[in-house]
Amino acid sequence: MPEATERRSEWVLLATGCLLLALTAWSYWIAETGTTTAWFVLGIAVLKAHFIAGIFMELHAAPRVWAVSLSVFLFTLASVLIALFS
Amino acid sequence: MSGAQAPAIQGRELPGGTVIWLFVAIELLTFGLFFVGFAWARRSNPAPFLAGQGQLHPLLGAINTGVLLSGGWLAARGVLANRSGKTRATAAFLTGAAVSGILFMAIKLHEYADVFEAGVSLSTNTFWFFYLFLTGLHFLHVLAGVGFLLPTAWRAAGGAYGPENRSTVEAVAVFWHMVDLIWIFLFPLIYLAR
Repeated sequence: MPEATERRSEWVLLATGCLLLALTAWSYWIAETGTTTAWFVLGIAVLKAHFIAGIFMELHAAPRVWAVSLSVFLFTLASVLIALFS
Repeated sequence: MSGAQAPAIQGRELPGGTVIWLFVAIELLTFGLFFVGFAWARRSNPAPFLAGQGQLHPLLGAINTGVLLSGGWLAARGVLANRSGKTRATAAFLTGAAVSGILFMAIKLHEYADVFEAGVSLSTNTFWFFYLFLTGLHFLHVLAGVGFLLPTAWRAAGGAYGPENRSTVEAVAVFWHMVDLIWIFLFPLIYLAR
């Protein structure tokens, strides 16, 4: 793996990790201050799941059928959960 | 080995191979059904769920989420290091991921101790059944993940893996990320969503 590619991958992973931590802190804060409802924290969960699947699990470089299937599953699951919570 | 040239990933391929991804798919579908069951039960009778949530510590849940996400980042760095042939870095990152799992379990056990001290059991009510069942099942997955990560890290340190032999490290990392994914939904469902 070329050094530049490796460095870039390291930065992408670091940025993703920081973003995931920030989203976690945000969802916790939002829920604790009681300023939102279930759909918001579940929406953040879907966003975080996409980052984990796409970047950490490298689905962005996998055959598209896997990435699309997981996206469909995550959105369907979140939609059902949000509907049941509303 | 740090200067070794890793083979370019040929086209679009699944990290870790198809088998681990089929396993991940089955696991996610199973947990997904349990999550829907949780939400369904809550919709039918929200009172015990709201009361139960009030007894939990969302901050500990958030800290545990951060711990698992940090472990996920470490596992991803381990995969990257392995592709570059950096055996010691691979071992260190995978060990770090395992330590995050151990920390997660320690915090979770502390939470369980609080819950059991309050006299809660699986039969207390629907909320506590789902809480103990879902988090307990996830806990077992974390335990299994640590059980996979530590020997893989040990073998990586001995040079068993590298750019030409990446599938084991990648499969273990995929399993660990799946554990993250499950918790990413468990955390808001159980601790936050009201």
